[in-house]
Amino acid sequence: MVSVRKAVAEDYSAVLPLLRRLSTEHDWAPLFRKAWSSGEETFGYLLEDQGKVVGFLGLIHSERLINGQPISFCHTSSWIVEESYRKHSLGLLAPVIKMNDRQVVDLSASKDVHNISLKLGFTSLDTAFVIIPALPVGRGILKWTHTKVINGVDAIEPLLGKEEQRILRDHHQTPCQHLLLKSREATCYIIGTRVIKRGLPFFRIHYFSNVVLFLERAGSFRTRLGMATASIALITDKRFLRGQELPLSKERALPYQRMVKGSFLQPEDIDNLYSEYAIMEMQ
Amino acid sequence: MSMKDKIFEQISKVMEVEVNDISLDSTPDTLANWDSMRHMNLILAFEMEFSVEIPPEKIVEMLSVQLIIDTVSELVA
Repeated sequence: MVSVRKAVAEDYSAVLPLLRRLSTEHDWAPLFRKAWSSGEETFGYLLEDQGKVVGFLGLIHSERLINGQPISFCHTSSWIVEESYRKHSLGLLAPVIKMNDRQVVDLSASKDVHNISLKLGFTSLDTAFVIIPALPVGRGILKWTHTKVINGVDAIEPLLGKEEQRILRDHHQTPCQHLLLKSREATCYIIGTRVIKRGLPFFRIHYFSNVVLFLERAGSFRTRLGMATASIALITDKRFLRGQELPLSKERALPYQRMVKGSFLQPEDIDNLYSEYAIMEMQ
Repeated sequence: MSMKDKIFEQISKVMEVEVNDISLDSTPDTLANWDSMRHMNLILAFEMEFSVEIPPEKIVEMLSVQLIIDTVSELVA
């Protein structure tokens, strides 16, 4: 008898063989580790047949304050079902479809999942990412001394607001790097992870607290961020840049679609924190 | 052709099974080929055939032929 139930921390070892079919390189443990308080104790849903785990859908819950508004988030991750049980796959998704009180986000929808998700009430959140070479351009060289980057959580934390301090603490035990861009007038807190693509280091940005400042001073910040993270370029989802094109940047299609269900926020206000990208070493 | 017959015909086409193999009690467990992708194709087929839009919450619950008929009938009415 096949059944669906909530996944708890103790299920990790039973789910791991399935997750390893998705990738043997990833450390999957963070999906079953509670790094912050969210009011939800589950790590997703399991499909079981007579006690044997035959399917899994990971869920990462969080409570955020976005533009002063409290929002509940649920990031989906790692939907996998043994081939002979694929007819029950939708059973794992059913509880998520019924979540009408939260912003459901899927940052890694494959082509098949994308098509199913569209029918199940999801909409496209983003389809492209932008590569920003860490080179000084335009007025960036002239205004070089007007900007600086503060690196390291101990130095950054006292300079952040209350909500940003909470974000920092929640992501402290993750692979994320924390940086604070500073101009004479304002600051922009940035969270991202360093990734290797074709042997080259990039810095993938998951969160800008003040993208307007980044865009205004991108000419120098892009280089400073590259230096601070030892990366040749920055990578960011296109929606974060609010339609602005930066010199020398290149737009590319995302290998996996970003999708969202629930219309609590504008796409550009939905960052990639509290997701599999932020808690795991994902290349 | 009755609604039930039309639904059986669509299921037969999408699942690639004989109409005779389908019954009101058929579920993904008992009907060959009924996986998630075909389930979604079935939903699209019903939406075109009956000019209805099936809500996401219903889509994931229509897991027997009887439930499909109940849901489609409710939406068409």
